[in-house]
This record gives sequence, structure tokens and C-alpha cells, in this order.
Amino acid sequence: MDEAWTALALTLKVAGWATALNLVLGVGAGYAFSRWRFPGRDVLDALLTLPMVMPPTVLGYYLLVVIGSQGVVGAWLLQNFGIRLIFTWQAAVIAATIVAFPLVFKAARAAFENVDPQWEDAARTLGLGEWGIFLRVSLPLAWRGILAGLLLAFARALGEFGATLMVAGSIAGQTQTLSIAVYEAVQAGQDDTANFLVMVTSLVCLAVLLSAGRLVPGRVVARG
Amino acid sequence: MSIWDLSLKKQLRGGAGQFNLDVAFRSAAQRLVLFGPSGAGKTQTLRMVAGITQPDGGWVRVAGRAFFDGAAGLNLSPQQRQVGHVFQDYALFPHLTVRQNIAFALRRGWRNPSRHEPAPEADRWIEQFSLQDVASQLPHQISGGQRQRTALARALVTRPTALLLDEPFAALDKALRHRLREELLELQISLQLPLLLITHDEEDVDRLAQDVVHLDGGRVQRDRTLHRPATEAS
Amino acid sequence: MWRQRTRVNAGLPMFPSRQMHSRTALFGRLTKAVVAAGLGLLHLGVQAADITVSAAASLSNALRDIAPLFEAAHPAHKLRFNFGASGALLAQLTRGAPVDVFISADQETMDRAQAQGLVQAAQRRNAVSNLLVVVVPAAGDSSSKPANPSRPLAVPQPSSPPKTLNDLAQPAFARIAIGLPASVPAGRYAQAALEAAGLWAAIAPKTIGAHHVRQALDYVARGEVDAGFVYATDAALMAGKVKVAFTVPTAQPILYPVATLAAGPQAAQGVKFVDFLFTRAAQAVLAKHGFGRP
Repeated sequence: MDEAWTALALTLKVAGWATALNLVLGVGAGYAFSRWRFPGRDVLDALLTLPMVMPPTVLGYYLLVVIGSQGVVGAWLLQNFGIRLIFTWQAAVIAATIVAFPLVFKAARAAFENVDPQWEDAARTLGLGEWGIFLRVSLPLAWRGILAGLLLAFARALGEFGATLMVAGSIAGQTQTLSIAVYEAVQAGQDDTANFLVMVTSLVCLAVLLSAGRLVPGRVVARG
Repeated sequence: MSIWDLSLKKQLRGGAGQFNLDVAFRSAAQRLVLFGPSGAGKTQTLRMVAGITQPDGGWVRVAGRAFFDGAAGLNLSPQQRQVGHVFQDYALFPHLTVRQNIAFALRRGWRNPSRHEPAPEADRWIEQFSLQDVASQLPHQISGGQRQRTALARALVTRPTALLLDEPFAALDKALRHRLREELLELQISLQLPLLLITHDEEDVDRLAQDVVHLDGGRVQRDRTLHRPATEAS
Repeated sequence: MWRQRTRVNAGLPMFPSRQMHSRTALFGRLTKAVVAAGLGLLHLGVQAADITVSAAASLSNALRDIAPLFEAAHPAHKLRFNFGASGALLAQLTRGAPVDVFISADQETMDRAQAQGLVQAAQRRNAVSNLLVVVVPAAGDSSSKPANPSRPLAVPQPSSPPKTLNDLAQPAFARIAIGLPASVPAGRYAQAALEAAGLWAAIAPKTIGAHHVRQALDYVARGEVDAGFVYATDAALMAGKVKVAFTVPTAQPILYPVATLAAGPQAAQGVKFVDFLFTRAAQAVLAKHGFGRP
């Protein structure tokens, strides 16, 4: 059962990092798309949402082609830094980040679009710079929607399997997340291990849902 | 020596099709009222004076400072213009208390003024506008008149060089409107602050305006300078 | 809740119980229709005379070539193949997968199947033999690209392919692909060979587990690992992308047992397929793919 705890710790680490990355990327992109109009915005939005609808194995394959040792990015990393991304937990983080990104991006964009631009205009007339406006006006008024998206993204990253398997492989303690561990236990006929892993995973998911309910109450702040 | 010197051209695309704004006027009056029916382009004009929207061409000069000059490529941001702005729905920050709203501009950093932090500048205005009782409340918890005063205090706390007001009394009942109008008049006289006010209410024009610009269909209809009331000190 | 709703519709001469009954009846009919449709869809794919064969991944190409020969000789039957790691296939059988013939890549998996009473022991025979080899990425991968002189590579690239198992212990071979021993026979053979050479402890930390032998092959072909344990037959498939470094000595010869399933839906027809595997035509195809005689 030691492997189960290792897998759990690794899964939480990967999902945590992926969600942290998506917090920056997703919120940034969501804000940009909600506030600025530029040519090709709709097309770019669709592209950024693609990982949500694409089969994870297809995504995993694209990733493999790009960051693999013979891929565009992978070869460059190998030549210049001696870094091999495949089979590392960092690759697992990349896979989890990409599949969960649309969840944060879409939620953030919708949340920012619901923030009346008039408040931001008011802040401008009061002398605040753009960063100040973002941190003191836009973000506080959009955080509930963003948080809901982040929790979904965390849950998605927890369960990521197909793309992770392709680029991170399965190395105990390194890249063997809970989902992969379950898969392998079943393949090896180790039902006891499988049952235990499934129970642990289910409890973690339940915990995520319960904290979601706590952190994002249904209360709505009435407009002043 | 004119206080207000504007020439604005803007093509707007709205739900009803295209709307061409072509507004130009000059006035030496401190209290200038933009008067006209809804849809005339008054708010759009005000937004361009504030710097929130950029005109397609022309110039904007207020109290001797150039804010916008299409030919010279000058366009000061709203932050640089230092002009107070009271929005039509007051645009009070819903997540901040009255006190935090008023003290908002006093803090330049990335964090909002805390609820318990002392802010003497803000307190001065809270006292002046009799908002002590509601200072710790959120905007949705206070009355329309209190919200209007909060919005005004918030705009004034930065000691702006001019004040823009978009239909500041529209949402209030008659008695309140009258009272707040008089308060605004007193305030303007004591501060000697250039004031540009949008309204479709003739009473506002009668009581407040030293000069009026009529706007309709995106164009200035006619200029009309009112006789100044005897009680007013120029 | 139902009753409250009917009270709101006051004035209608309906008894709550009758309304509830008609709603449940409708729901019941709907469920039956959905289930019937589902079963009907399932039946569309499976013909009555299909023979289902679960076979080790390494046999996939050979068996696909044999299929048309069998179907030509037995027009009434069609073959359906299910390829994977032997351990994974056994896990499916344990849970009642409707399979007629099972071909495993090692004796141990078949032994487990027999111990569970899944196969007819009397039907069990060895079908083919194979060899375990170590492969490396073929020349033309990243190792042969000139390194950036200003940034020395953190991982030293292997200068020449390994010649023995001992060579694999060198730091130049930082990643070695191997099937997961728990479920992949090729991995078990590799582990056994390394243990026999006293190298398992040194090499195990460097291994990258694959879920079946073809995945290990793919890792080598992509240059993601420095070496991998695969079957000789697999290496032949990707001759352009992988190079055989050496053959791994195994304590026992690698023999693939085949057996029919006791509970297979087409068990009798399955016997026909097993027999066909031993005909000259089938054996020729297997030999062409690199398999040895049993």
C-alpha cells in the first residue's frame, strides 16, 4: 500500500502544479480575451478551448511529437540543456495543465465579462494604473467564477490519464499517478491494490467537491 | 479665457446602426451643463472629456490643460487627466465599503484600503457629506442619496482639476434632488471647481448652469447663456 | 413531492395515485426500450460464428496475416482479435470476457489461467517460440546530432551499442524500456535474465515501464530511451528505427502457449483455429515474421 501513498502524493503534486500554472495562464488569457478585441480572437479562443474536447490520447500524441526527444521543442531542450522531458513528472504537469487549461480560461473569461467595465473606468478616472485596476477591481469581482473554474481544473488534472500516459509513462514515484496505478494494478490482476487505489482516489475527489461547496457559496453580492 | 474648449468627432456603431457625434463648444463658465434628451450623445461626450473613450479627431482642453489633440497626436489617459467623474449609476465598487470607496484613490498600490485603516482625507469628506452612519456599509446597503454622495466624495478626494457628472440626480426623488443640487452648488462655489454636468432635467439647468450646451442627435443645437442668479458669487 | 404537484393542479379530477402509476409505467417502458436498443446495437457487431482470440501483442502482425488464410479455409467463421499484454488479457478473462482462444507470451500467464480453471488444459500446446533482444535507437536520432559546443549535454550519449547485459549498467544508458514485469511477459523474461546476471538491482532504477512490449518498442523507436527489451519479432517490424544490439540469453526458451477457453462462446470453433495454427501455411507466415518453431 506504500505505492498507493506515493501515487497519491505524486498525483496531488502534479495536479497542484498544473492548477497553479493554469491560474496564471487561464486568468491572464481570460482577462485578455474579455477586455480586448483583436483580429482572429474567436479562432484563437476556439484553439485554446480545443484541449477540452479533444480525446486525451490525441492530445498526448501531439505533445509527444512536440516535446519528445525528436520533436521540435524536445530536441531543442535536449541539445541545449540536456533536458529530456518525457518520463518526468514535469511532463505529467504539462499534460495535466494543457487538458485543464480551457476550464480555467473559459470560467475566467466569463467571470471577467460579467464585471461591469464601468467599475474599471471609474478606477481609471481615480488615477489607478492597469495592474492596480486588475488586482483591486476586476479580480476581486470575478474571483468566484474563477475559483469555480480552478476547482474543476484541479479535479480534471487529478484524473488525467491518456495524455499523461503518453508523455510521462509510468514510473513509480515519478510519474505513476493514481489513475495510471489503478490501470496497472488491474492489468496485473492485483485486485486488492486496485480496490485500495480506487477508494483513495474516490475519497480525494469527494474532498475536492466538498471544499468546492465551502469555498464558492451560492451567495451573490447585490449590485450597488 | 475659456475653461471648456472642445471639438469632438466620433463615429459610433450601436444597436440602431451608426451614430455620428460632432460636438464643438467653448465656454468661459465654470459651471457648464450639457442638456438634451436621452440618446443625444451626452454621455459619450463626457466619456471623451474624461478620456475613457477616444475621439476620432478634434481636441479637448479643460481649464488651460490640453487633454486630447488629434492633430498633435496627444491623448492623455484618464489617470493623467486628474478629472473627477461621477457616473450615471455611481459605479461604486460593490465589494468595498463606503469608506473604502472614498479612500480608494488615496492608495496607489496594488491593495485596496483596508476596512479598519485610518484615512483622514476620506474621513473629512465622510463628515462633510454626513456619511458617518453608513461609512462601514456596502453600497447595496445604503440609500440612493447616500450612494450619490459617496460617489461625489470618491471623485473629490483626489483634488481633481475639474468635475464631470453624468445625470447625478436622475435616480433620486424630488426633495432629495433639490437638496443635493443645492449642496453641489455650494460645494462648487467654495472649491471654485470647473464642473461639467449632464442632465435632461430643466431644473438642474435653472439652478446650476452658468452656461448651457444643448445636444441632440450628436450635435450641438444652440448655445444659450443664462443670466446669472443674483445670489451667486462669480 | 409528487403529491404536492398534483395538489397544485387542483380542480382536475385526477387521483394522485393514478397519476403516479401512469408516470412510473411510462418510465418503465422507456427503460425497457433503451435497454433493448442497447442490446440490439451490441448484437450488430457480433455474428453468431465469430471466433474471438486474445493474443499477446507481439503476435498482432502475424495473426492479422493468418486471418484471411483461416477465413478462406473456413468460410463460415470470422476471426476477431484482441491484442495486449498477456497479463492484461488474463485480467479480462478473469472477469468473464467472452473469448474463445488465448495465446500468451509466456508459460506463467497460461499457468495462472489454468489455475483459475479458465482454459482447457488438454487443449494447451506451444504454438511458437521467440527470442528476447535488446534494441537501441537506430543511427540518425538525437545521439548522432552534433551537440551544442557551448552547452555540454547533461546526459552522456552512448558512443556504441551495448554488447552484453553488463554494458547496460553503464551511465550512458540512463533509460531502458522494459515491459512492466507484473503484467508483461517480455518484461518478466528481461527481469529474469538481469537477475540471473546479478544486474537487476543496478538496472531496475533506470527502467521505464511499458504496458506492453510494442510500447517498449515505440519508446526506443522515438529515441525516448537509450535501449529496450523487446522480442526479435518486434525489432524486425521497425528495422529502420531500431537496431538490434544483442540477443538476451534466457534460462528457458521463450515459448508461446495457446489454449481454448473452457467457457468460450465458440469454444468448438476455437479448436479449429488452434489446429489451423499448426498447419504449414500458418507456420510459414509465423516464420516470415521471425517466430521460431515451438
